[in-house]
Amino acid sequence: MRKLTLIAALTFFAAPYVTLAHGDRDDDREREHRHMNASEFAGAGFAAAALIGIAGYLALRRRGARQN
Amino acid sequence: MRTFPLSASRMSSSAPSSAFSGNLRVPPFFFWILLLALAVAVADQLIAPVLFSTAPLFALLSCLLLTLRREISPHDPLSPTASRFTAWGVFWFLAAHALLIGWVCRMADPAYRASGAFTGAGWAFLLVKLGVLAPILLLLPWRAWRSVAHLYAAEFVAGAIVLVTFFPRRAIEALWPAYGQFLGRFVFVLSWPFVSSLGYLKALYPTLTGPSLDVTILLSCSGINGIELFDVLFALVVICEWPRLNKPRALVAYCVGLAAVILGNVLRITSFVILGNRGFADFIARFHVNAGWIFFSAVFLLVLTSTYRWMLSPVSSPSNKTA
Repeated sequence: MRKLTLIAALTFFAAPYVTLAHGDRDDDREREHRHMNASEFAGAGFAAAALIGIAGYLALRRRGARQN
Repeated sequence: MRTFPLSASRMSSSAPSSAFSGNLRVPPFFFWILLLALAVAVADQLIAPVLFSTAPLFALLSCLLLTLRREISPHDPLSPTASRFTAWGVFWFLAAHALLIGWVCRMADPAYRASGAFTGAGWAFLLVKLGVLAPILLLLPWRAWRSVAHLYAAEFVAGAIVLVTFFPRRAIEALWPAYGQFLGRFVFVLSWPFVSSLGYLKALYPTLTGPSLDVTILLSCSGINGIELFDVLFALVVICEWPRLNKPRALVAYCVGLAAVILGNVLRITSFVILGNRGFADFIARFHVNAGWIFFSAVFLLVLTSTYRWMLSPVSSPSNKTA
């Protein structure tokens, strides 16, 4: 559970930097300016948030199983 | 009339809708109906891309998964006619899909123009997109559907909720002119006591002007992303817990969760306006999207923590039975 939470947190905070590294490369070469794609950004954020939610649900489920 | 039983257990009229042989569970007959409907709906959208809509696909998929998760008693009443395909049923089902595709392909240009528009034709075409589900009714006789609907009522309701609430972008876009103003005004009223000289610029995308940071509320700030996240996560919980879930309570929890996401979104934007004008402008400008996802995750976990045990029916353990 700790590992899953850690992975979720790392994904979450790394997401903007990962998307910063992508983008339109031809355009980047011409202007030496990194470009972030909004859809990539939203997708990474969504996935990371979903991971956090799933980790929380699994923790809740495990706690419920222990109490039963 | 010719019939196509899917397994030996379906041959007998007294056979239950789901059979268990050893540890191998044979999916109930309704599962195969849904699988066929899903496959044909996907084929429809591949052949006629203008029919593309995720709502019917998600509705069928969720209904299909919940049917698999259902624990069916051997004594569940399902009429014999509701336990097998008929040749005529399959023929009319496929013919209806062929007719739908033929009509849509013939109307391709007006259909493409209408599909994304918020006109009467656009809404009518939305019904056509959802209409890919209608031919499923031809697969079984009407009386058989009554039997199936009685047995799978909870799965039908869950599928219908998914159909109308999953990823309601069109609804949000249609409501935005009014909802955007309401959202902007609400955020302004909540932020105003904490930020001096806060202003409100009325526009399709309203802007709250502050001394350090101006916040423009776009369509993507409407909370639709939070609703999508909540829908996906709540669906996962429902699918995992379906056999021991108290269904009416789960529905209440879902509605409460949606309300919490919408209210949470107001608080989220309010916090951005307040913090952004209290010395954290750069931080807010840089991390507001990620902070939004953290916020929506927190709202989901808060709702789930509050309702999780309440949603689950008390499980009767063997020790309880013997006691």
